[in-house]
Amino acid sequence: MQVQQSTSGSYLADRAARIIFLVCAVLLIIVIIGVFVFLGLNGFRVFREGANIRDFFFSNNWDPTGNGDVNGNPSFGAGGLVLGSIVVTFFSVIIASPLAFGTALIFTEGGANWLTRLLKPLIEVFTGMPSVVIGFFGLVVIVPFLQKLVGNIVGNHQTAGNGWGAAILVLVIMILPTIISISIDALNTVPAGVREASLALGSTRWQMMTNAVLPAATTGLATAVVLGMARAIGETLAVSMVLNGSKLPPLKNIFALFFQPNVNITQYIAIDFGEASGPARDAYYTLALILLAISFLFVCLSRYLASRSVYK
Amino acid sequence: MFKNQRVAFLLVTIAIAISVLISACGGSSSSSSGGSTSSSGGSSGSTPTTLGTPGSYTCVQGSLTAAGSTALAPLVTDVAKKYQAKCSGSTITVNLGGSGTGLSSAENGSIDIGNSDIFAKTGQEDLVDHQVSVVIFTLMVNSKVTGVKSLTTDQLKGIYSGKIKNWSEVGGPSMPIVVVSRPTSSGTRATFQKYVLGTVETITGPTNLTTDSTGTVVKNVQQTDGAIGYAASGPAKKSGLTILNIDGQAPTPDTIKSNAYKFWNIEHMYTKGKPKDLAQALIDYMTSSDGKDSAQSLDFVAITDVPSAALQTHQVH
Repeated sequence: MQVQQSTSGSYLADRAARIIFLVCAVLLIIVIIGVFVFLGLNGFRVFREGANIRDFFFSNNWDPTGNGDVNGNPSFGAGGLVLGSIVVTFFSVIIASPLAFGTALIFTEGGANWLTRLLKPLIEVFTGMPSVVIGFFGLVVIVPFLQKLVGNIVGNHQTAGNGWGAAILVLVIMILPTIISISIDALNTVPAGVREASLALGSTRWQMMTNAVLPAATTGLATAVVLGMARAIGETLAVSMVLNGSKLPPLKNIFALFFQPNVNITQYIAIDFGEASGPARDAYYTLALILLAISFLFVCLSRYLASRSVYK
Repeated sequence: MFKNQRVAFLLVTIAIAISVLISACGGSSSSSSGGSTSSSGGSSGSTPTTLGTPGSYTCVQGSLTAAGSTALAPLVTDVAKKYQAKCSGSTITVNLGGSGTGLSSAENGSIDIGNSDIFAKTGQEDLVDHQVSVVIFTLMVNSKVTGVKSLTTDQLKGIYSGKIKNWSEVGGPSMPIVVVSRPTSSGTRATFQKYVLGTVETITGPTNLTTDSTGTVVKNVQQTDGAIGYAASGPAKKSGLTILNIDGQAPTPDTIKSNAYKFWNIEHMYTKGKPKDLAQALIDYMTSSDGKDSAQSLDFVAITDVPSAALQTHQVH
């Protein structure tokens, strides 16, 4: 009798737990699809209110309220903003990933014990650092440093240092600890057998790391890069503090793009969205949708690269 | 694995496609001021009420939320604090968020008073305008720009269109002029363009920085050699930067009363319809003698001191 009671009770608990988890998962899916639908509903309205799709993506004059124009006509040229977000995210991820993977390898493959013991709490503190603090650091340290470095080459000496270069550096600092912690976890889950097999076949430690361990951990490393990239693309305040631009500079001068005041999607959203209304607000919804699309593309890209790994 | 990714990709594409279809078939929520392309609309449709009886106040119990302009917030907070000290039983909360947010929140009823630097837009006709104060804006220059104390309107037009590029052309040292602007949606920039320049700022390029909040503008002008920018008078004076006269007129309450100095703005507190008792009491208190003391200490000008001839020049867009 007692055995029957306890099994039916635990069977009930099983069913209840399963239902609760199912509800959580469904809620999550509803939220995510809800975000897409919300942005989609609001994001396409601006094209019926006077914006032109071609101009939106390929022209440079972003003035959705019309206050910058003599006649008060708004212009919706987000090409510069989109390019800014893509370039800044791409370069910050490209620069931060190898550094992060190297640090993670130090942690997992042995190496100086004192270093790892020092780094571990530091990285945890760093991961939790508020982005506005890093933004201040960027404004007060990185921008003057870059100004001293390249100020004599670019057009204007006084405003040099602002721009995509400073934004990339700020973002690298911000996403490095995220990628490092997740990479460490990813590398730790590589079975010891992989390392032993590699060493047994006669590879040096370096060959083992690059040819055996890293490929085996590719999916985890891709997750790390994706999370870092997500943090980079959505970063608003820190980036707007070091960009300070109003328009994309002419494209032929590469130095000006990276070391003069420049623009970005999240910078304009941070500056303008609270005060915008009407068509301007709809334009910002469209920008948010574009940001979502860009991050989606990056996720697909990194997943594709990860799926080409040798170990499945 | 690739199959799972494909399924996910398809689901997301379907979600986006559905939302495109729904929006193309007419959309569901309505946007405010559909179709209007400029942010400055007509007046709110009712005559502005400005004053209660100076010096007096009525104590009303209850709670109140005011939100909106960051320029007006220090004054409202100060006056509200004095009011709550004199009338226990009243609770007043002052939030930020910007003039646009203040107006739209007052319009949809989520707050009682919307503080605003700008007039309400078309489509917000049931907001009642109470003009409570006058905020002074000033031009500031970086400390390296010595010898420039005043700029004429023509010189300002040249600087803000990029024609005048060097401080030596206007009496300063030989240094390129760096213009620190506000974003195009800023009410401060709209005031500057309308009442000082007479036209829009057209400067772009490497000598132009665009930043939003007053604090960042002040910081940029302090840090960048040869920079010029504008901000509300209180923070500008606190920063220690050189304040410029415009056309020889200094930014003082007297030049504002005669409208010789034009770079100022009326501050509004909007309520939806007739204000409730506590809101009306607070608005009256803003123009009382205690309110005037707060205004003076924070570098505002009490609106009761400004003659209506000057006020008329800064009314409706």
